Amino acid sequence: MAKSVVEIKNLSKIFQRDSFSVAALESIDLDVKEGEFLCLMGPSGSGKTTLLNIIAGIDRPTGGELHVLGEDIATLSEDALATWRNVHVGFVFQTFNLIPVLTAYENVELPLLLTKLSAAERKEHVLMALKLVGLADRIDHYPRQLSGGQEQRVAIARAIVTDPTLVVADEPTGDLDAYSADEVLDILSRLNRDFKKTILMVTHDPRAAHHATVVRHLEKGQLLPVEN
Amino acid sequence: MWRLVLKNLLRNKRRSFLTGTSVAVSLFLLSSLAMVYTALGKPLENADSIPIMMVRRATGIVFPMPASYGARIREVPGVAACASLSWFGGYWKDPANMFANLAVDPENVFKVQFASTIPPDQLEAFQRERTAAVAGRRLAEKFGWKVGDKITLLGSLWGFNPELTLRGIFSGGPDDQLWFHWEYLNEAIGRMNVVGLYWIRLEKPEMASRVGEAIDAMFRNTPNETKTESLSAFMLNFIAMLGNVRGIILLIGSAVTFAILLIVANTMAMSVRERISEAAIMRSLGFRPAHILRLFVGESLLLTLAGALLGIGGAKLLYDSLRLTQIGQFAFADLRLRPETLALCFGIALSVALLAATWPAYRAARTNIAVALRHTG
Ligand SMILES: Nc1ncnc2c1ncn2[C@@H]1O[C@H](COP(=O)(O)OP(=O)(O)OP(=O)(O)O)[C@@H](O)[C@H]1O
Ligand SMILES: [Mg+2]
Repeated sequence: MAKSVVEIKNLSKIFQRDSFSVAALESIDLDVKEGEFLCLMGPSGSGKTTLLNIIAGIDRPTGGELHVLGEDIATLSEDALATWRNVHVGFVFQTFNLIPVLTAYENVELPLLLTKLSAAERKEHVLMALKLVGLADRIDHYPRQLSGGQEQRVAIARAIVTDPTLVVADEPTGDLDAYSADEVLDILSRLNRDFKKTILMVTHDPRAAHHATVVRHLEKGQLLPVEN
Repeated sequence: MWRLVLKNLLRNKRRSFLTGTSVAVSLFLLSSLAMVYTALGKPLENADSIPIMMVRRATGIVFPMPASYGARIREVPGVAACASLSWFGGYWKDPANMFANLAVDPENVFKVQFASTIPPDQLEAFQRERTAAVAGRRLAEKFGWKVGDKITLLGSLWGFNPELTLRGIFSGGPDDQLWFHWEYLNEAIGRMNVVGLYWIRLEKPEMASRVGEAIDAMFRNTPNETKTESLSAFMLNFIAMLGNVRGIILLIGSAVTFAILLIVANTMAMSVRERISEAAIMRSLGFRPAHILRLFVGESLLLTLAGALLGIGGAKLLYDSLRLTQIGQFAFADLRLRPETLALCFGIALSVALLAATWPAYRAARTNIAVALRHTG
């Protein structure tokens, strides 16, 4: 039996907005095993991003139990959580992923600046990550000199350069054409298959779901039962 | 990390350039003001070690004193030399050519102004001839005067235009002044036998207060009571006649500082606002709020200090090469940017940079990552 990467029990998230509150997530129970490729689907506003953010440690739940990689991350301090993210989680967002003034190489190197690696070791890691996403020849390009698909692949390289256990992707193909979307999805499933990364991906795209090992649906803040 | 700061700064080159230039211009202005401010507060370098004092009328420097006092002052123990001087206040050729021209006692003036040197033959020629004059080297160079030139002073309130012959050029003392015979002036105005002030030289600088009290005591309860004071105290009084110039300078300086603060704060606020989501991305990668804070504050520091270096450095170079010694008609030992003034201006720039960046940077560093990404994503 594989280890659990994400264990969630009765988790809720309520946004307080002035006078009224929005329950974005209600009594969520979720278990994600190591090596799974989980695809989270659901209509707009159903809470997908919120759930993903909480699991990845960039937002906090308002109730329930949450363990990610065995850590009760809701109780970590802001700084401890930052370090935890650096070590354990890789992020790919829909847009606005890369720092525009940095080259592809420098963007991928960013999370490594927080580690103890030497410049030579960092270089080795960065080049390996960029090779993995097929962009070894674009290291000196700036984001604006790359296509949307290439930008997203650089973002994936940055997400995996620290060799995290968990990779989260929020609609990584949302802004891409079909061809580039397939490239990105191929890379993600290869990371899952060949490198045993646990991947959580939010998507609207039914074809994207084919790459996943598990598909879960959210509706109005609640997780629908697993369908077989 | 510094690479990223630099790259961020160059991201909007025009804005950084404009802000940097504004900071440079403002700090140029600020350091000029600071220089004048310190000069006015402390007109003479090492003032306490200069063994020269001024004797004036207790009622104020504009009132004349009897010419007979000189002989009595010379009797006071500790006085090594004494020379009268009378502010003449003329100009040469054009009212724009204002400079200090004084009617002096030619026998004693170089004994008091011991730092001024003049070739012995020129000194003798000056003392011998009633209409002779000597000029400081800087003044002579400014107007292109040579020994033997005829110089007519015009426009004095004394209502008399002395026709002088330049007989010597001195240097090492108040080199912006011209001196001529008091006798010549006294005759022309009908032997009123008055002088403006007395310059005295002490045997030792430490004697200042004792000698000053002795002289003032000697003339107490006469119609012409005196006030004997050090050169710098005298100049401070002189400057006080101008009104509260230092206060005004301080006010302008504060306004300039505030203007720099607004400029930099505005730039930093814009710069941070545009990059809230980038800061959020960096934080998702594991950068801490303190890292983000440093990134933005570093940017503000780099921008402001670059501008400061340009503005203050420019001012320093300019004033060093100009070798100013004068503000209007007031001569100063040294109008230059002293190290303390430089440090003060850089200190102000530093505080401005920190103050301008800290608040927006703090907000960017503390925003909830999820919220920041939602706004732009
Ligand atoms: N910071 C916030 N303040 C208030 N309400 C919020 C906030 N963030 C999210 N919400 C609300 O929570 C609910 C879930 O939002 P979420 O972004 O998780 O949905 P989503 O499934 O990712 O939608 P989409 O497919 O459009 O990205 C929505 O009703 C949203 O308006
Ligand atoms: Mg979403």
